[in-house]
Amino acid sequence: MARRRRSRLRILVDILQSIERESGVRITQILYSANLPYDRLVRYLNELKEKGLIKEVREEGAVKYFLTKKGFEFLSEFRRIERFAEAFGIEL
Amino acid sequence: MRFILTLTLGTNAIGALILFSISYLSFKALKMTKVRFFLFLFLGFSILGVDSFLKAVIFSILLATPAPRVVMYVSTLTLSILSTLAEVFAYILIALGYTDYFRSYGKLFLAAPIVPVLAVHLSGLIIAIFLLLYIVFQAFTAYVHSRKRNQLLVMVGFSTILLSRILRLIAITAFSDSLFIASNLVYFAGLLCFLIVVLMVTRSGKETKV
Repeated sequence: MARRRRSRLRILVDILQSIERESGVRITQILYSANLPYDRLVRYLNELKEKGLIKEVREEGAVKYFLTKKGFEFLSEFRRIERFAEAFGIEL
Repeated sequence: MRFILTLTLGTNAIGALILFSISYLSFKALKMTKVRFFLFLFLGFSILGVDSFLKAVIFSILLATPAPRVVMYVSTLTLSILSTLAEVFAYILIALGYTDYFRSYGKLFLAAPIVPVLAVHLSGLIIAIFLLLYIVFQAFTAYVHSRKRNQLLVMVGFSTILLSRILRLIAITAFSDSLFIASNLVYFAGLLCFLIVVLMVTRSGKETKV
């Protein structure tokens, strides 16, 4: 069965999950973890920042990303929806 | 007769809550994911929920008012027919959702015709049974693919509802009160499977570290 391309939502969730796994993560780590080209990743990170799901902090001369409270809540809600969708055989 | 009305009232009242829970989760899923399948699921389960709720309301009115037996029979028969039509419409929507979703994934062999040609000539209940067969097949395919517990529950839920509709059909043709009661109880058992899914989905606690 052919695998579908990742949806935009799935990409955003993959980014959030890679930030969640390791609090205070650099962009290069997200790049490999979320498997995205650099320019697209930057666009998604800006979108997540605007939505208040992540925050950018300068630490020891490096830019690091953290999940906000809203970001954690969003992931929690997504996982609930994912379990619900999975029950009906729907892949998100 | 009063016992049947009371039983139907109880199962429909609780059933409405369960069905509205599924439609609420479907709405939340639709809002977050924009996947069209959830729109069909939301509409389908909302119609089923409204149907159950209205049955509960009407049965409670019938129980409360001292209507003559013939009025009660005519009322319940009319309600039954309207309810069957609503159910058929709801199952069409849910079946449409599965067809739309699997077609978009290129799983064309699963996008079978929603309403078999033969079912056009048959009553609403038989149409519902055919639609439920299709829905059960989709749910079964989903379960066989991944073998997750929540998928098994959805499959069992729809299968149990299908069984209840078959029992209801036999009950109507055989004029059997006991089979009618059994069909109600089996339908309710099917809804309990969906209740478990709702409880499993909404359980609290994060899965990964904060």
